[in-house]
Amino acid sequence: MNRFTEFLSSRTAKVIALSVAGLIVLLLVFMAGQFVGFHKATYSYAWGDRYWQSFGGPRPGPGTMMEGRGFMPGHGSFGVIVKIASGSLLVQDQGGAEKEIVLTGDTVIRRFEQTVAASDLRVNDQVTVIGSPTQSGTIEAKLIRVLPAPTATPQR
Amino acid sequence: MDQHDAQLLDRIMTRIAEIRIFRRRVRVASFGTLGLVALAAVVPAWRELSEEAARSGFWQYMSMFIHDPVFVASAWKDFVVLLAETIPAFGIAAVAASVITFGASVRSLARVTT
Repeated sequence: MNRFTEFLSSRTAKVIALSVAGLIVLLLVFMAGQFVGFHKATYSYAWGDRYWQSFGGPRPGPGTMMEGRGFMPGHGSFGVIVKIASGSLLVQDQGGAEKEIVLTGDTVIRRFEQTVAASDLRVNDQVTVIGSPTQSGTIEAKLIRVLPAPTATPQR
Repeated sequence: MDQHDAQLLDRIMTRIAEIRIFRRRVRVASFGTLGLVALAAVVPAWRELSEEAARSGFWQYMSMFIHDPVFVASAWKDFVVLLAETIPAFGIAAVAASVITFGASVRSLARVTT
């Protein structure tokens, strides 16, 4: 018992404990990466499939989806509204990808400190969206924040 | 100990001292260079982190939490996954690696010089 206590307080035991803790942290990070990667890949595939059905062109696959863009996040979007339809928006992000945002009765739309209606949204509004990805490659919006239009910086 | 042995011992000790000084100089030069390179790498790594975060929308989503914490809390699951999806992992890794390398090289440098 005494030798076991001695071992626990030894440098070797500390090194072993730290190594195990490090391995657990690495494993958790790996699992988190796998989880996130799976979600992004699933959404990107559904988005690509929808895009292909709408516009044609090469059938999306793992190779075509990765071209220049990588997998896209499916739980939100930010960018400019390029089209407003009944119950949905088309938001173009900085990379040029257009994501369809579906509005539901639970969607909250905020402009500054006010909650506004979907009818107050305009094309060219800058928005940030949080929502859930659907199997059809759209995002079901839960919160949309309309951002103030970016001010032009004076040129020297 | 005769005079010959004393001279030999003296030469051996001198040689050992020379080797120690040489090794210390090599270590100082190595850790110094590594520290400078790591310090210089912090700036581009930080720039990459900022650009990656701006590109992925990470700052925009974080600002949503600041502006609408109550509404974001009601969709916290989607928000957490969204942050995980857009976190600038490469930039964070680059900044962390350069800062840790700089700190480790400074620490080693202090140990060598004292």
